[in-house]
Amino acid sequence: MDHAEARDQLEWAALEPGGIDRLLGAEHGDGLAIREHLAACPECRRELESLRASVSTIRQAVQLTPDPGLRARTLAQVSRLGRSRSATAQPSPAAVPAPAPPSSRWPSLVGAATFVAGVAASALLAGLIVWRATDARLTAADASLAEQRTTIAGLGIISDWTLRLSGDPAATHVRLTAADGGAQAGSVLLSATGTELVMVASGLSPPPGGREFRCWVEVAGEQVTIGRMYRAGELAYWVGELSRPILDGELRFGVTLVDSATDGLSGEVVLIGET
Amino acid sequence: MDTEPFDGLDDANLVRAVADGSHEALAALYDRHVDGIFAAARRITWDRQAAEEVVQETFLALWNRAELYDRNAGSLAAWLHAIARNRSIDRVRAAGRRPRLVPLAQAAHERETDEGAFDRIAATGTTVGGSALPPDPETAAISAGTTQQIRDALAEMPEEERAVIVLAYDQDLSQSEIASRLGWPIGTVKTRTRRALRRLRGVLAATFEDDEEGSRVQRTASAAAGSNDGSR
Repeated sequence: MDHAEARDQLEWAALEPGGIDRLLGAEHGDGLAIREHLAACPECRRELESLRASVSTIRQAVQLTPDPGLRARTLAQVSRLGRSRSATAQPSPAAVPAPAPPSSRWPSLVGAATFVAGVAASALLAGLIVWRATDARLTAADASLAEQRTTIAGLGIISDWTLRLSGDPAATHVRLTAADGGAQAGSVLLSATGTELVMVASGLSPPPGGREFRCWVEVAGEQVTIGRMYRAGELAYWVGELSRPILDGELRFGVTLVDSATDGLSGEVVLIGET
Repeated sequence: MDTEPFDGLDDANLVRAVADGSHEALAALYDRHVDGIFAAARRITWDRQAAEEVVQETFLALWNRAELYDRNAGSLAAWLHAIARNRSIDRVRAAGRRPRLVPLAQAAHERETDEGAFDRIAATGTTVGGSALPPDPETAAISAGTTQQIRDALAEMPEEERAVIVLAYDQDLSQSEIASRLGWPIGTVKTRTRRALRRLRGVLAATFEDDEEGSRVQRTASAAAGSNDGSR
């Protein structure tokens, strides 16, 4: 067997799973011939090592590379199943009402020129009044619709996560009560792995401008921000994966009203609870 | 989907655009993060289909909950990886199995089971640890660069060659199994797989030549610097 034959055999074998080992392990025929050649040929032994290393690297890269078609499938799935995120609709040209038709009583009372000018002016004025009123109603309706969509999406997220996490009996439940003894209340659901969390609060009035509700956890005396609370109708909530797991131990959870422009947790604590 | 206008935006701004309903921003984030997310999911589930489902769920979660991303709490990559990791572990649990021990699997030969690899390594008297030693930074960088070169080459490869190389090295199918799966003559499968393998080996050879050239330049530069130091 010469160099070319040996390398050819090795390359073909490399195409099959375990092919090289099978070829070299064969007790007769090609296996015997190639082993004898390799024993006497350092150049082909180097080629064998290079081939093994290449196949190993290629295999690893192939295994960790997503299919190019996955991009289109993922984006299509988001379009199909993702929440509606259409921007607040602007009134379309079709929504602007057409000028009202002229009344049939007027032509007998005025001259033709006056009539045309008057009708045009009246129609324009009427159109503007109706348009402004309609525009205001549409804008209000759009805002209301957008708020409803946000609420529905938020409630959906809360339900989805609560059902999923509470299905595990090892999940941690914590009740939150108002720090000032008021009617506000809340709950925390922490996954058994300590990596996922649902926090929901009721009775919190929308924060004043420039301020927000921020939830946090205190582990071993260290207070860590979890994130900003979002609103879904009357509820405030935070749902998601934690940037680092919350380990076992005594935990305190809370919600603080903070200045949005600051990063910390200094502010009025409104809800608090502990394991 | 054209994502070029988003190339200059950082992750936080792209997430904000996603929250405003931009599918193009989501596509840009997909392009930026999918490789890492897929690789992480694949390492946990050890299953291509499951890993692809995890990728889809992760980007669906990003779309649905973009407002919840808080840049002060960590990078977007960490956030997405946390989602992908949890989804992957859910799948492994649902399938009633533990995550595969990758270091041992990496020590195994082709088609060798973990048990077989363990027995073989233990029989040699070698200590089998719980995890492999991390590679040194230079090796890790070279490895990451090499993997990216292979990925790029796979992306540019003709579809029929990419298909056979994936079935051969990802699914571990024999050439006759690939022929049966794709309905191609066995000779065609062999030719295409061999051509694809040669193409990828060519990429690796070029990468290593570049690395060696770079190292040589570095060594020469170091030697020159040492010589200069010595002359002072």
